[in-house]
Formats: sequence, structure tokens, C-alpha cells
Amino acid sequence: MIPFRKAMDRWLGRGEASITTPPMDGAFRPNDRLDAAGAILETPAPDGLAITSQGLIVSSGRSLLRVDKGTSTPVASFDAEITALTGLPDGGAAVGLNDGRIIFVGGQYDGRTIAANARASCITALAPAMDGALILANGSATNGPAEWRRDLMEKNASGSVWRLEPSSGLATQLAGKLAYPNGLIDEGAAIVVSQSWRAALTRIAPGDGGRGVAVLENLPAYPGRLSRGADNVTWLALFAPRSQLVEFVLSEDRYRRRMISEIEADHWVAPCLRAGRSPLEPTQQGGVRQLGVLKPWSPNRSYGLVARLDGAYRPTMSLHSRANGRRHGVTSCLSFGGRLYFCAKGDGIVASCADEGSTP
Amino acid sequence: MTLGEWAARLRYRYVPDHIVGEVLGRRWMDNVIPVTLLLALSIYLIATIPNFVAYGNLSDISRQIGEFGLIVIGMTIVMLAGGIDLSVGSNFALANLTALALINVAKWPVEAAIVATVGVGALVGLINGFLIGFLRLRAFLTTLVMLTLLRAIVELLLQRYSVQIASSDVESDAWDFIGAGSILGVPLSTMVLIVTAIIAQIVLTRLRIGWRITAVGGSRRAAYNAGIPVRSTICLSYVVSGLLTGLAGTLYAARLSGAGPDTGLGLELTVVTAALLGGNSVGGGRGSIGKALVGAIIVSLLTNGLVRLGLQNGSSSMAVGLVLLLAIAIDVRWVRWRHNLHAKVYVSPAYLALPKAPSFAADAASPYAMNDRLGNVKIIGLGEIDGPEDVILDADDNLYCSVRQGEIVRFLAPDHVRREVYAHVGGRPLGMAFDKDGGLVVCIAGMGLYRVDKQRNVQKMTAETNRSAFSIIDDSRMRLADDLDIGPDGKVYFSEATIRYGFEEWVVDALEGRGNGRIIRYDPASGGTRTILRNLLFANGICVAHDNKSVLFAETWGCRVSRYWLEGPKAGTTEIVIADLPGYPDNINRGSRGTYWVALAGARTPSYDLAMTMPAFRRRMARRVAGDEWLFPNVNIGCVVHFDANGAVLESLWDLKGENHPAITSMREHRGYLYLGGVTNNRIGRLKLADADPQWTGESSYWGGSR
Repeated sequence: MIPFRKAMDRWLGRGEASITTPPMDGAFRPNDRLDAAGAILETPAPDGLAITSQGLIVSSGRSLLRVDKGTSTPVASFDAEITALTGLPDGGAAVGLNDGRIIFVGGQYDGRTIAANARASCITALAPAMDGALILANGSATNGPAEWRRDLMEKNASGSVWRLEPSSGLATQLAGKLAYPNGLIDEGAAIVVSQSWRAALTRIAPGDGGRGVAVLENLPAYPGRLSRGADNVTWLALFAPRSQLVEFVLSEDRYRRRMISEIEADHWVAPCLRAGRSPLEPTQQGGVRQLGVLKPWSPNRSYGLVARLDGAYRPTMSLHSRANGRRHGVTSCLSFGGRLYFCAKGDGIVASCADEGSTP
Repeated sequence: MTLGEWAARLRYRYVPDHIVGEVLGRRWMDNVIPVTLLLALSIYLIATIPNFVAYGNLSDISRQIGEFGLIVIGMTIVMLAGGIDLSVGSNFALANLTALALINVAKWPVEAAIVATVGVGALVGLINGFLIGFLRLRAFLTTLVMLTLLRAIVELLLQRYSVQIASSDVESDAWDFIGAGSILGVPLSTMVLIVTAIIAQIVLTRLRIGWRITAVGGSRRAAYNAGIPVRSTICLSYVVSGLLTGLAGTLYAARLSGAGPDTGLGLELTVVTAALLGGNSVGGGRGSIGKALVGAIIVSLLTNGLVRLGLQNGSSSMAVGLVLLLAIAIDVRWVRWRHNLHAKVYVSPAYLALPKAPSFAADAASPYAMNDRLGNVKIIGLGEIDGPEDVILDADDNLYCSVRQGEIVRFLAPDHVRREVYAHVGGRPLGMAFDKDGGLVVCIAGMGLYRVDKQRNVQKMTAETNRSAFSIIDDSRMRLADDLDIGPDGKVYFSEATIRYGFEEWVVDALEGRGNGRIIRYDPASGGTRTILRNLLFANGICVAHDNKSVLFAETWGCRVSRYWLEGPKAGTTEIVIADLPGYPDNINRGSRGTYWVALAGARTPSYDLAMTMPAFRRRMARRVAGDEWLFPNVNIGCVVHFDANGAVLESLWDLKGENHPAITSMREHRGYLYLGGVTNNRIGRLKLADADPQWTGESSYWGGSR
């Protein structure tokens, strides 16, 4: 009976097969606080933020830049795109590159390069472990970080989390079969990882065989980088919104496959960091400009969203840049010195606002 | 093309999915189940009972149907008004007894006896009506009590008169004729039923009182608010029911001349069964005389057939009971079920493969290469107008636009700053054109083709065209008249974008991508309206060519511009002029130096083009995804394309950011400037054209020689 019902549900599009997305409500109630935040730095595609002995730095393309008020100072440049960045306890930083290499900047391992690991070359996030090791999120076994849309539209769950010894370069896999792990926090005994395509945060403990336990599910957007703030607060950057249309296309295998094979990725029915750049992009009925105004609630493929989670990873508050906003595609956020910094990769802006969550 | 695509193309070309939804949307669908039941029952009875169709039996059945049908009509009228009359069984017995007592015992003349009997029936109805209509008692209980009361009266009277009735003999040819006579081979009671049914049909559908009865049943409160005398209308429905019951009782008395305690016993249930089974709603407001007749015939055939099949006595009542249950179930479920199904299946996307879109990338070597020539236009009326779908200028340079509020707004020359409402036309005015006498002809969505003369009087030109032979939905009315142009002979050519949806639902028509549009010609000289082209993919802009020999028209979802020849060797044929626009064409208008302008309301997107070749995908999207989330053509960008008489594209003007002019739906060239309008915009744009004829106006192009 059960398999029969599942088939019926799929055919009629109801039950588990119905197309729904969680509403932006409760802690995710929309506001325009990301748009109200003060811009600090405008640079193409700022992706990751980290605190180092040189202060706050941001990765942009192949460079690391210092985030100071109004100026951008290159700290380091590499021969490949930077895909992940984390600050280390010793004041240095670890940088993941597009080709899978990891390079240390500053700190005790300054200049050291760990060669690419063929099984973990889609480095989406890095985090220092409390014992001095480095945790690495490998988004996908088949696609690089730049092809994250393809990974979503292929409905992959081939990501993994690894532990890396900085001194020897020795890598051990902690968990696999993750749906695009894209953010990490080390809790000491366990690791919390954000799985973008499952719209969930999962805790991976050493004893559970890499399966993990969900700590937060049904997010209204795709979760990305995680960072720890003061008072056990966790900040989560959600880089693109989930939408009914995308979920529907994901359920439509024939259309999805033809779209992937026949259409350029920028013009897919898929989330993105900044929508509306090209007239060839898909639009939705509610996204039609009326009387010269794009309504903030209109469905959009890009959005700006940062959420604050409490000690139990429950969302308590969020900051938004809605459909008509100019701070879309937030890939990283960081609380530092009483301010919340975030980089809107879709709109090329690093900005900050008062961190109301931290006690001064 | 792959095999799968080829199969999809064939399947969507030859399987007309949209008909299912259209059929379900028709009101006559309510009659399908009863009529099918009737046919099936007839066939079964004819096949199983020998001599069922013999004259004697048919005549007998039709006499019964005659009497029975009259009461069902009465019941239907009561039910239409939202009530129910359970007293008909006893009332029928009372009428029968009255007629027999008056004729057999009191020896009244036949005419007087008939009038008196019908009067008694009507009086019972009046009592019911007074109690229910004016005192507002519950119909169900009141008539149930009346049923019992009358039955008691009948039994009391029977004790007194039954012997006298049975023992006396009547010598009256008229009375015998009523009981056994025929007119033209049709039994009299059947004839009475036919005449009554025709009168009732006319009253219910054509007269004020009939509409009032239906309105009261549909919504008592709304009827009251509309000023309908609810109480007397309800009362009247019971009087009619009682009157028809009295008439039926008279016919019965004449036929059988017998009065017993079981006359009309259980009749009320059979009548209600018949009325419901025919498709009349017990809740009121929905029903017809035709339904009543079908129900009456079914129930009569059924009870008669069961007797003839030799079933036991109780089985007939049992069958009626079961059928009543079925009828109630259908009554409750059918409407909702049909409504749900209709809502689900009406939208039926078709297969539409567009030719490959030309590139309009900024660096593309095509005339469509994107530029920002519309990025810096002079803005007129910003925020003062809501959706100027079309713009037009008169000889004195005044600027007119058709806006959402159902108005033609005029910006006064020379600076177009002051504005006034030129005329309120209602509906959603769209395309406009000036005729020879300076009258402004307007296409109004939801209304049709109208004209505003120079004294600003609004007159209807046409709102109806010839109905297609095989169209299920009524396509004679115009739902979405879109754009028009006028030939030198005064004939108006106008487009109707879709016959399946109204203006507010044009998005759904985009999703369907079927040729639902058409082009219609109106001849003011003869007043005649004819559809000249059908099955167009959202027929939109229309423009009479400079040489007046052909009409150019745009098909929005087809992304093409075509030409319909009015004269010459190819008269009456259509040819494609621009086959592969990079966007969705809207209005077409003449430009100077023999050129034309076409507005693109949006750009084609690869994802939507792909979806158009996958109808099942779109159908599921329409059902499972909220409307606001539907995939949609990109109408957040606007473009104007300039082309010559042969369809060669000369240039294109884009608004790259879509800030001022997303979704351009119209443009007019006038004295070297181009004026732009948009159906979802709040402004009109004005742009200086570098190489246009600075003297050229539309007015002079159309009527320069003839004025």
C-alpha cells in the first residue's frame, strides 16, 4: 500500500511530492536590515571572511583583501580562484583554491601548500578544529565550487567532510554522502555542517559512522558558511532562496535534464547569487515590474539572508535583503568587534551593521 | 528532432485536451448524467420487456407521466425558489377526491368542477406559501404537517363520500375525453404537460417573475438586497405547486374515477426523486423545466418498468428510494466535483516549438543587438497614469492613452503636461485608432469595439461576431479585443487575443501557448462583424499596411509578425513577415518613410522556450505551483523594433535596465518623435528619432488625402 501511495502522490503531486517551501516567518520574518547596513568595500564577488592577525580579510577572486573602512589592501594573491577561507587561532589563515590546493597565509604554517586531494577537490569551507587540525568541506565529488548550480540541479549528494593535519597533509574522511556541505563549525566533540541542498544543518560526531544528526531543518533558503559569534551564537549565511518553481523543476526530471544539457547555466531555472543581470534569465509571474516597481515579496532567484542561531542552533533573528534589495547572495558573515560583517557576493559588497546579538 | 519530441508534437496537435475543460464549463453538462440515465434505462426496458414500445403501453405510461410531470414541474419551481413541498401527495389525493365528489356526487358541470379542484389545490399551496413565505416557517416541517393534515381530511371525506362516488355514474363526454382522449395521437394529459412545460419554461427563463424565483433560491439575502419581494415570491412558488398538483389530481380523477385511501400515497417522495434526479438542486437557484421532465420520465419509466418486469410490490418503492439516494448524492457532489475538475483541466497547454531566437547580445552582429537608446527618454505623466497600453496622437499633437481605470486620458499639446480624462469608456481599453471623422475607435477588453466621437460620446460599434461551427465555448462574444486598425474604406480590423480567457488571465493563455486568438473585421457601413482569421497565437498588434493592400498582425506567443492580404493575387491568404523575433511582439504601428514599428513586450528566455515544447511540464506547473511562482516570459525588459515593408529589421531600441520601459506594448511615431506606452507601466516615454521624417504623422498617413 505504501509504495502504491507514494507512486500515486508522485503522479498527482500531493503528499510528499507536493511542491512546498518553508515560509519566511517567525525568526525569518522579512526586513531590510542587510540593505540598511553600511557598505565598507566594493569588490567583485567577495566570498569568504576571516579574522587574522592583520584584521578582517575577505577573499575576492584570486586575492585576499583587508576589509578596512573604505580601502582595500591586497594581502595575498594566488594563481587560482579562492573558494574557501578561514582564520586560524594562531593569527594566520587557510585558503582553499579552485583546483583543490590549500595554502596557509601567515601564522605558523605561512606559505605551506597542501596538494590537492583528488577525492576532496571541491573545497567549499574550511574551519580550524580545536586540536589544531583543519576541517574541510568538500561540496561535491563531481562538480567544482563554481558549478554549485549544476550540483543542485543534478540533485547530487556526493559531498564529504574531511579532517586535515596541517603539518603532514594527512586527510581522513569524517562523513560522506552529504548534499553540498558548505559551512563548518567545530564543536570540539562534533562538527556541525550546513548541507545546502538539504536546507539543513547536521551534526557529525566521531562515533556515528559519518551519518550525522539534523540539528536544524526546513530552512527557507540554502544554507552556506557558518561562523561562531560571542555568547555561543552562531551566524549562518544563506546564499540563495529556495523557491517553489525550483523545487518543481527539481521534481521534473525530463525538463531538468534537457535544461542542463541545452541551456547555459546562467539562464537555468535555478537559484543564483544575483538575478536579473541578463534578459535571458527566467522570470516568474510575480516578478513582473508593475508601475515601475518590483515588489519586495516577488519571487526571485536571488536573495540576501543572514540568520542568527542560538546555542541549540535554533534561529532567533535574521537579516534580509529582499527581491528589490541590493545585497543579494550573502556567502559569508562574521561577528567581529561588536559588528556583524557580511559579504554579498551577488552584488559585490562587503558591509557591516551593529551586532545586536553580542553583548559588548 | 527526437522521436519523443515528434510524438509530443503529434499528440498535442491531434488530441484536443482543451475541449474537456470547455465541455465541463458548459451549463448543459449538468444534464449529461440524467439524460444518459434516461437513455440507458429506456434501452434496458425496451430490450428486456416485450411490447414495451407498443402503443397501448406507451399511451398508458405517457398519461401517467403527464400527471406526474405536472407535479414535478411544481416541485421544481418550489425547489428553484429554495423550498420544498412535501404536501403534494395528500394535496393530489385531495384534488382527486374533490374532482370526483363535485362531478359524481354534486353533479357540477365539468368546467366548474375543474376550476374548483384546481382552486382547492392552489388554496392548499397558498396556505403553505403564507406559512413559509410570510410567517417564515420551515418549509420542510410545514409541508410535512400539511401532508399529514390533508391526508387526515381526505380520509374523513372518504368515509363520507367513497360509497357515493363509487356507486354513481357520470355521463359526460368532456370528462371522458379528459380521462381517455387524445389530441393528434397524444394523450390529453401529456398534451397538458407539454403546454404547461412550455409556459413554465418561458416564465422561468424569459419573465421577470421567473428570474426572481431563481434569484431568491440562489441567495435569499442577495435577492432581498436587490429589491426582490422575497416573501411573496416564495409564497407564489407554493401556489404554483399546489395549482399544478390540483390539475394533476383532476386528470387522475378523470382517468381512473376512483378514490381510495392509497391515492397519492408516497407521491411526494417520488416527485422529489424525479426533480432531484433531473439535476435540480435541492438548495435552490439551479434547475430547469427540462431537468424536471427528464427526471419525471426516468422515475415513471422505472416504476412502470419494475411493475411490468413482475417484481414484487414493495420493490418499486425500494427502487425509488435507492434512486433518491443516488440523486441526492449526485446533487451534493456533482456541482463541486465538476467545478473542481473544470478548474483543474481547463488550462491545457499545447506544444509550441519556436524558431531559434536571434541573439540580442550587445556585441551580436544582428539588428537586435541590445543598446540603451530607451534608457534616456523624456517621461510624460510619471505616476499619473496606470498602464497606458496604447498611445496615439491626433492632428493637433494631443496625446491619448488607454489606462486601466477604463478611461482614455489625454495629455494636452504642446508640452503634454496638463492632462484630462478624455472619455470614460469602462472595461479595460487597449488598442486605439482614429477614424476618418476624427472619432477614436477603441478595443476594450471585456466589452468589444467602441468609438468615442469628437463630442466625446461613447458608442458601441460591435461586441459580437459570428460563432464558429464547432466551438464549444461561446466564441461569438468578445472577451479580449486587443488592438485595431482602420482601412481606407472605414472597415475596422481588430484582434482578439484569446477566446478562452479574459484580460486578467492573459498569463494563463501564455502558459497554454495555443492558437486561441483571432482577427475580426467590422464593417461600419453594413454593421456586420466577421471573424477572418482564427487559431492565432495571442493575436495582438494589427496595422493596415502603407499601401492599404494588406494587414500586418503580431502573434505574441508565436514571436512573429504576419501579413494578411486584403487584395491582389494573394487576397485572403496569410504569410509570415518576421518569423523569429527575439521577444514577444505587441502593437504594430506605421512609421515614417514607409516603415513600421513593433513593440516587444518582453524577451524570449531559453528556459521558457524549452518549457513551451513540454506541455505536460507546464500543465503540472499550473496545477502544483502557485501562480505568482509560474515560469514566465521575461517582460521586465522592453524593446521597439523598426522594420520595413518587406519585414527586414532596420534597428531595435532597447531599455537595457528596464527602469523606464519594461514591457513596452505600444509606440507611435509623430513629427519625428516616438511615444512609448506599457500595459504595466506608469509613464509614457518620448524619444527624438534621428532619421525620421519630422513632418510625418499617423493622422496624415491614414487620412491626409481623404480629409
